[in-house]
Amino acid sequence: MSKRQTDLMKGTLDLLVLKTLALEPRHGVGVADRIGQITRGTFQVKPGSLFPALHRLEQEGFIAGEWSETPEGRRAKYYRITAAGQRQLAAERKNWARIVVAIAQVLEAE
Amino acid sequence: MRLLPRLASLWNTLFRKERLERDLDDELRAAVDTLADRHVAGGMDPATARRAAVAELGGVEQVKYEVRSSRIGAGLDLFLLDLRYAWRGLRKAPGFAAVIVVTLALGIGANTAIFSMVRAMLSSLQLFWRTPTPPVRHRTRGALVVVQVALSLVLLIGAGLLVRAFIEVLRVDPGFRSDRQLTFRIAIPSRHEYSNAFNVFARELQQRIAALPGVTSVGAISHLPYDDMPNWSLLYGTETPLPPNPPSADTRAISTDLLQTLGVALVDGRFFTDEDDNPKNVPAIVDERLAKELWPDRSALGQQFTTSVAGMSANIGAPTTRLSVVGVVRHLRLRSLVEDFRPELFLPWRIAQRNPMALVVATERDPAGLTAEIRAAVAALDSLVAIYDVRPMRAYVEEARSARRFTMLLAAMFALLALTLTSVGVYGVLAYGVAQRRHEIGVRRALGAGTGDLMRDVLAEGLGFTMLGCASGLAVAAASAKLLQSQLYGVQPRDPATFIVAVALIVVASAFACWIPARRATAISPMDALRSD
Repeated sequence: MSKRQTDLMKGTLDLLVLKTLALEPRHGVGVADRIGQITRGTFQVKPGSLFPALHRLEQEGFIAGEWSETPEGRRAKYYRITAAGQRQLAAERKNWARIVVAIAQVLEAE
Repeated sequence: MRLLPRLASLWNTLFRKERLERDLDDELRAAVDTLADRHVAGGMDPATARRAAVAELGGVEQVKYEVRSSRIGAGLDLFLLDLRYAWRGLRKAPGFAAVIVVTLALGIGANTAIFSMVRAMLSSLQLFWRTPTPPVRHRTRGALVVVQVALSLVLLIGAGLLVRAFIEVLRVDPGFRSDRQLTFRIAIPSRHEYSNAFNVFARELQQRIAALPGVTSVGAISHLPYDDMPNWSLLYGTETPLPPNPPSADTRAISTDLLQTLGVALVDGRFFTDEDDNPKNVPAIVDERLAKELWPDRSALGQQFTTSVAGMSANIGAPTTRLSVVGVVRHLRLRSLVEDFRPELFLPWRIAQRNPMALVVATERDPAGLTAEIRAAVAALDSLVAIYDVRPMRAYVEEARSARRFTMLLAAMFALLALTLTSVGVYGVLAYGVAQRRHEIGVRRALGAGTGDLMRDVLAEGLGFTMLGCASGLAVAAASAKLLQSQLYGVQPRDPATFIVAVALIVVASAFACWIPARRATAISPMDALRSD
């Protein structure tokens, strides 16, 4: 994968994670589940690629983690979005919209 | 804005690492459990479910690595880790650390020296120089030069010792010839590995190569000298069973003709022959050390002794076996060129059947052409067998020496650099002093002081620094010479000759460095000095 493509992936993964957590707090595996579910399988994020993203977002202060119990009774670290995260999500959504429009323009060009 | 959470994370990365790691570990563990639970619910057995879960995660360690690398401050953290590792390494090798510290000190001293010299040159251009020198400044410079001389002496002595040790290593006789022996390795394929088939293949191989034009003799040995194959050794003793904590001997499996190919002479007895292949009555060739150790007052020939069997072919069915001595050779330096602690024992290849083997070919021919023919001969014997690591025996011996050569060259380079810098330092201090005291010197000249007197004074000052430096340097060198012990083969750490030569070199260099300022002092005419009033 070329570097540019990887960067794009990283950015979009952040976007997906923030949005997923904006809906409700989840733990790592749960986020992966949800993304797979909503996109009907188009995005199958391996939990393994998700965790670095989660930790990075946590370090930046966009999400906050806290230990809790899953419905099945297991300990897990749940993440929720923070106020800063909401602002970042809004900014990323705008950015994403711009990217989509730009790509569409290129594709439609004669 | 986002600075605060990032700073907090940086703090965590650097100072709360353990907690972070524990949290991460818990989190991943929980993730694996969750995933595994699902698989179990789907009907898998717990063990397979766990494995599937780990695979789904992408490998626990892998994920940890990714998370760690993406942490803020990961780069800094890595750098600190490297520093700690380097510090540990330096502590383990104090000699090396000492060299580094000394070199650093020299570097700092060099700065001082060069600046002194530059200042001296500048001030000798000054026509008006009236400020009397506060004596302290000159003395400080003097002290620095003394330290430089001391450090240079230490480095010179170190380098001298290493040079002598290197020469000693060059003179070590390995005990076997390496001037015209070509070696290569071969792995005998498993289809030949039944005991008899192995021997048949081995014998064929040896005969075919021996038949090539230009080949004087061929032999096989399980371990090439100084190479990096793990050592093979057997415990030995006179009785069965062996007593507790028996000594061990470095063991090598060799074919017929191997010792002859290497030019090793017999002290007693005979070499191996084709008849030596009975595992019930194993012949052995031992070195003089083993012979003297087990049978100090008689000939070792025909004597029997016991050894363990680890590493031999499976023919022996017991934990020990009896060997009969059929030949005695001098101790060879096969395992290490300089360290050398165990006696040696040679067993027939046919019985020990080690694989892979290395073949040694004594030949007058140029290796390239011969190699091609050897490959062809091997291919004709079994087209799926390949030879590898074709090198002259000389290369192994050279390599064993080369590590020391590097250390020696490095040390010699540093020492010469040190000597040069010190000379510059001595010159700088003296020149500066002379320039500072022009006025005083001029006055002395006016009052009738002779050239000789002036020169003598300058030289005395310079040599004074030097002697002080040498004295301290000698003390330091004598105290710390032991640090180099591991590198000094055949040389005493406090070798007097080296010490004396090093001191002489420094004194000579200093004398040269003193010369120019001394001459300059005599060139100061009373008129110049008085004129600046």
